[in-house]
Amino acid sequence: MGMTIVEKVMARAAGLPSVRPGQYVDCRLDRVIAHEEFYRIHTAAEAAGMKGGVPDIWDRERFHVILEHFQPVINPTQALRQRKIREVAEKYRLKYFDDALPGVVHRIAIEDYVLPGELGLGSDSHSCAWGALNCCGTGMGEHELVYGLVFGELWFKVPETIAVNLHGTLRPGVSAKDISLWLGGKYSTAFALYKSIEFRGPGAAALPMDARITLAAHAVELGGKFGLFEYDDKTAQFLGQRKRMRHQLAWAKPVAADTDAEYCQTVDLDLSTLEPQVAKPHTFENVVPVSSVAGTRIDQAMVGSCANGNVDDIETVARLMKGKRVHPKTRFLVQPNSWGVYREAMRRGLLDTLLDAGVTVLSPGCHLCLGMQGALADGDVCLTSTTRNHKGRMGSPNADIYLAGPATVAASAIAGEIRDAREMI
Amino acid sequence: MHTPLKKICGRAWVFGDNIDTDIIAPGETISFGLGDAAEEEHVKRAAFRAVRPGLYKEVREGDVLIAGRNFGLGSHREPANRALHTLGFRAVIAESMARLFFRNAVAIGFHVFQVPGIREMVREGDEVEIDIDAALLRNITRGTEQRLEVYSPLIRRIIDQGGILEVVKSRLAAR
Repeated sequence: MGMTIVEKVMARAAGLPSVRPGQYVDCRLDRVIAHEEFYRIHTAAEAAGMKGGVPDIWDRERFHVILEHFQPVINPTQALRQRKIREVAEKYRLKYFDDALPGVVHRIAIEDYVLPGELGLGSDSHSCAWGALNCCGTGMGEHELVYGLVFGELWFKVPETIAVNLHGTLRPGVSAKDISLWLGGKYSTAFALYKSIEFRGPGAAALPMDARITLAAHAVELGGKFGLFEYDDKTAQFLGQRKRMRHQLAWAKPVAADTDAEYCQTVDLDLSTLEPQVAKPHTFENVVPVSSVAGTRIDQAMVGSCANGNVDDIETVARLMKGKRVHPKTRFLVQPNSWGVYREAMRRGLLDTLLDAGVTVLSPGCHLCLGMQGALADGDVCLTSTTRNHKGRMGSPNADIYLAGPATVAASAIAGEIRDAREMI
Repeated sequence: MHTPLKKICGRAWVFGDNIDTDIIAPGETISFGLGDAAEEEHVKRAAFRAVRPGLYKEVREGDVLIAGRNFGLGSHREPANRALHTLGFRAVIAESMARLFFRNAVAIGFHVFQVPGIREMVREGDEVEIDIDAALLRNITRGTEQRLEVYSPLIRRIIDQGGILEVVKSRLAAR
């Protein structure tokens, strides 16, 4: 019987000829990436009585620490924590320690570190984003990462896999974000609980890498453990541009699902019929077509995060903003998710377009997504292309956060109220 | 040596669907984080404040948190898992639970169960008792019983040892 992508990867990592969903396996890890939570990995080990922290690191070629989340720091406590992280990183003799590399860990991981066919763990819930590159990445807590770092392995329950078959082409003004939101609205945040999602079909194959990153990152908003794409020429092209870690490129072993793989559920979506979607406060499943919330006043608009701080997202925004101005009563913040993205946006002239339109362009980072910058006050309404609209996520619990695709956000920033971008294209 | 919990006795606190980690441990509390006692106290006071301000004053050790669908979804945040323990909760029983929250709970030795329909069986304030070995929830107030899913042997071993770091230590000692 055939296997899905994650079944093949876990079987290989467990040293078994095959695995089935529900099976508990010990898997060798190909990659561990930690952001600022690296500090908690250290303190968790110390608190458990391991003097000096994690006793050893199984493979320094496969462990990377990136200080990106609190970059730059916003208060003295974060500053102190970063100083402690630098001390710990030195003590552990890390081979790869990206100090002060603002951006989003997942974009950086996809640009610089992870490889197709790998089983990778990240200290952040959106590590499933690595699936855009055919890497089985998923989030893991600090305590378990101690185990993983010492022994280079960890227990897994082999997940069932849902096939999301995409057909057709997205219409202008509609993006990968709308696919994720539509799935959340139709199937809930528990859609893929403890499951892997494979994005398949001609519609998936036609999606550019940035759109794949959006879909893969949002697997976790749908409850998923992994959000995976198969390796193809687009993956190869993206990897070909890799500037760092090129010595590991030959380690890549892309994995495709068998033709007779078994899926626990299959969803078919014709992309050409999809309309722009909006998630109302305070969950990713509270989703409606943009028309039902059009006209809602917004105080702030944002585009950024692991899901939507990519080049294509910024290009979408720039196209709409060209020759226009942000509404005088609205603040519009855009945060690219890596310096690579930032430079590319700069090279294409997109940042100039945004600045001309009165958009605030921030240095790369995670800040917007969790209210570390652009925090909301009581009664504020924010429309954002970031990852989550949970109550209180961006400051006041009495603020309303709506999620939408970058085009919807840009059109709404111009109008000062939620607007269907298709009216402006 | 950690003594495994055999029985959990306390009052039930009932929450709804989609209780995310931003509700359990608001984002700004983790940016305070040095992983020390001050952080733990800070997170404890902020926990659930968006939906139940002041909860930290009322929960007693041994209480059980009952929740709906997809409890603990959202950001990976171990302080959220820790906060439940610091508040006094000794178990969560939810209709379903986010994967990362479930794993993090097991990793710190905290009991978590997924029981469809749990909110029809337990009301806020009910006296409940969880018998771990029997995998049974007794509702003392209503005189009813509910079977809990039996942990896989691996998960039971991690919880009984007091969390995965105790497993790390014993594996290192056996080297």
